[in-house]
Amino acid sequence: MAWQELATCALLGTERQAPQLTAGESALGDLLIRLDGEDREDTLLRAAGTLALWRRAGQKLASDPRPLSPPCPPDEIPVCGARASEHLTLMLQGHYVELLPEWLMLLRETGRRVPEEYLPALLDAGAKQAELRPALLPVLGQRGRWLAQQQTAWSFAVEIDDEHLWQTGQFEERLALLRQLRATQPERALELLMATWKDEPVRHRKPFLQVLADGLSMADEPFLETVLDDRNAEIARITADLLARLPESRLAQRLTAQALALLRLVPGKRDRLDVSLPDDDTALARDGITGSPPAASVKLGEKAWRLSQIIGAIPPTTWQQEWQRTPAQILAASHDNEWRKALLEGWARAAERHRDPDWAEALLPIYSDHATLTAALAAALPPERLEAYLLNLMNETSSGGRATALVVLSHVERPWSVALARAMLEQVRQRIREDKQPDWWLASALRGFARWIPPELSGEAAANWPREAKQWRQWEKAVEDCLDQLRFRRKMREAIAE
Amino acid sequence: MFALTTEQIITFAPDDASVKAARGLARPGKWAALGQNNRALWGECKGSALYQVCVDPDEPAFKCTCPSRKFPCKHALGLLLMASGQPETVQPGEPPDWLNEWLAKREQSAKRKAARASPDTDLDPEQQAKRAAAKDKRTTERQRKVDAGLEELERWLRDLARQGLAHVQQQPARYWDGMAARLVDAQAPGLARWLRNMASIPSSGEGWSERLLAELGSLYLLLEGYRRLESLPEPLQADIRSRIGWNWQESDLPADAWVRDCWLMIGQRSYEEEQLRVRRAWLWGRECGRLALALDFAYQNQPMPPIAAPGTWIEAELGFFPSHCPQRALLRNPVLIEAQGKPPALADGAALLEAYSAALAQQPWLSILPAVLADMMPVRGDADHWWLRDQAANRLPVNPGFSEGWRLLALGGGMPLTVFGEWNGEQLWPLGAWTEKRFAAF
Repeated sequence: MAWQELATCALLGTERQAPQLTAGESALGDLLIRLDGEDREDTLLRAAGTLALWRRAGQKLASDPRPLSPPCPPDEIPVCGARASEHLTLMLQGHYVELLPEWLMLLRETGRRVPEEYLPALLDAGAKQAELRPALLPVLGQRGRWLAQQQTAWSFAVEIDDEHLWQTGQFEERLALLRQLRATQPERALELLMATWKDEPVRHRKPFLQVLADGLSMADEPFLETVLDDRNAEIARITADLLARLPESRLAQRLTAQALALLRLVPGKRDRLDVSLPDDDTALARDGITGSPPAASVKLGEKAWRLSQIIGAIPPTTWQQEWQRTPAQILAASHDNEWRKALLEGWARAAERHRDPDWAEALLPIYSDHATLTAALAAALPPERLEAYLLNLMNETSSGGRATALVVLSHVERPWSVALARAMLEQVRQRIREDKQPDWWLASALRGFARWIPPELSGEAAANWPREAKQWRQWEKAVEDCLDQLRFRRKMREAIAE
Repeated sequence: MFALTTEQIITFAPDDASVKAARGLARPGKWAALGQNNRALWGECKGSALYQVCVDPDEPAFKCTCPSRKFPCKHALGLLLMASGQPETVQPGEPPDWLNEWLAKREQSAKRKAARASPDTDLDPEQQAKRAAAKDKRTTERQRKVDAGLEELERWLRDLARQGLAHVQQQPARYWDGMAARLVDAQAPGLARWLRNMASIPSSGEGWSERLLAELGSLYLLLEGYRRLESLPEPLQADIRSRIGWNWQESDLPADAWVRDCWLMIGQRSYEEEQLRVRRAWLWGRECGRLALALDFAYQNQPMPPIAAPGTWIEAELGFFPSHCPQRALLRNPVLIEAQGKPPALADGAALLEAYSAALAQQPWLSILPAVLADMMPVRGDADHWWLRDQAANRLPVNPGFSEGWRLLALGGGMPLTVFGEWNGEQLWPLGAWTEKRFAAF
């Protein structure tokens, strides 16, 4: 073809080769013949311009031989309004991004779904942050699930109803199937897992096993008891952790018997505890009680660490029943004990693991400077009880109690009542009035507080700040950040209801 | 009154840090003497000192007494965020003296500018003659420079053809840059840009020599057209001059270039080109049925003038640049309105190609044809290559620079969409799409 010859000539240069314009029968051929002249460069460039234009104008499209995939089933749920979408755009651009889970939850409450064109960005966010998924999944709608099927990174959002996938699917699909099944038919999920357990590679066993934490019951116990013998230490540890959550499990029974043998209450004017330490024992090791603390942060010797783990595994109510004492009384009895640190660690773990509100409340003041433990203990309290506990602390005359309340609050991720929010704001104002230096943790916690204060308080919260106080300048940014977030939350709520 | 959304305000900011700082300032405690009237917003911001800040949101224009080199500064942005987030704090009022001074100054410079741009009828004959003579002189001078520049370009092209493309491939970047720079000096910036774009072709992989040859040939045809400019029809003359780099001012446009209509904003995109930010905004006129391109430029740290959001309607006059295929237009007196309507669409890919070749026959240097296309199904190929599949199962490739294939797919949900986009002869850059229910911009 004329163009190819021309291109070859252009590559070599006209000083090496003269352009040859082949004449054709067509009008184009006639035109090219007229361009052919003595001036080689002129001929080359003019012909190139002409032919390039001709080729450009004569483009054809390739046809698509593949069959089309089926369309998404229609969605009856309405999408949210324009102003709410605008807020979503802002959050996806990185502004007020910490409020995205709340926005998604509100959307679900109003019975709306996300406008389709935002779905890819939200699915990307869900793929990166697993903690966003519980809020995200209900508002994706049919369209979101349809879309998620087409991108492996989004498999967390796929609704899987085909059990055959357990035999044939990719790991991500199988994991998603197991999760969904576990949520609706926990026993069936267990059956599937048991059927293939022997053949699962170790790297898959771990995530599959963790799925069982959801909907855990005594029905899982026989299987889990056998998995305790798994050669992989990590798998065995996860299994022991699961079994410890079931008070009637054989593991829990064994450890309870151990614990009762090790700890004795000696009644008296002031109760005290008599503690023996456990020896190394393969049976204990099988039940997940290990010799050396996993983290350097736990400063306990080997035996004390074993004791702490045994206490941490069994239901803490064991002790009330055995000794007829309240948690506070038991804590008091442990006061002078040589092994108190191990005991406290154990009880805190037990309160967290078994979500025991009585023990959590008794332990909270002791652990108020331990962030993750505070959060875990506070989570073990039902909302009203946590509120009552905190309000009580804030009304204390000692500043220690009030500070503890603020610390605990900064670790609690759940909405507050109006009364609690007012008390907290007043506490902070009071600290500024007293010309206190900003506590760095409180200044940064204030921003987080904005997520839990009822947004209808936004106007009230903005008032009465001691702007004349000497330290105000130090506090100002943190306070204003908090109020700004609160205002955005109020607007966000108004918009979503539209 | 003030009606910018937070999102629009954020687009004015020179960088993310400014937005963050401005959000910190959008609080009642930071401001004194806040107010607004129909021309401006103002306030005094407590920073390291007390700064006087004012903004004319329409233009937009910003003024602040702070020493920041960023423009607009965080105080001006903070004032805007304050007005959009907490409108109750920015009440209508009497402007302070310092603001009146600013407004007066701006009014004067606007008048001066208008006087320069206005038709010469307001001036006395002597001034008129003087001005016309000066203009003629400028035009002749530029003409001379362009002629010389184009002559040199032609010699350069012929050298290139003689030495061959294989030789060109081994040349350093300054081979292209040098010629481009000389074209800038010759006041032919359009050609300089074209040449700079060509410079990347030799390293663009397989088929580069054919792609480069096509561009060189097209450029050579333009030079030939310019040599015979007088013999060509007037609109094509205008196209050649535009391609070289002549620009049109509002005052240059003939009265019949202006079209008054209700326009739907059907797509926008922004990108950077040689230190400039460029925004392309496409409008569709409901009565005239035309597609128009409003181009805006801003230097790196300057804000883009605000424009109606995609999917909204304006009533406005658009002045089309003379061309055989008029696209580019200047926007005059826009007013936001409520209206309904959807542009008619081409039936399939074949219709698009037909329209494209018809347009090329009119304007051989046409780079982009805007088109509304019916029943397009977004389809993903391997490795995130996307195309649109028409009812005849033909593929229109989507431009690889377009990164929102998934959003397009999400919007369609496996059903065909009406898509508006820019066709460059090989690929489509989607800018807007209609489902049965609504419009979405990309």
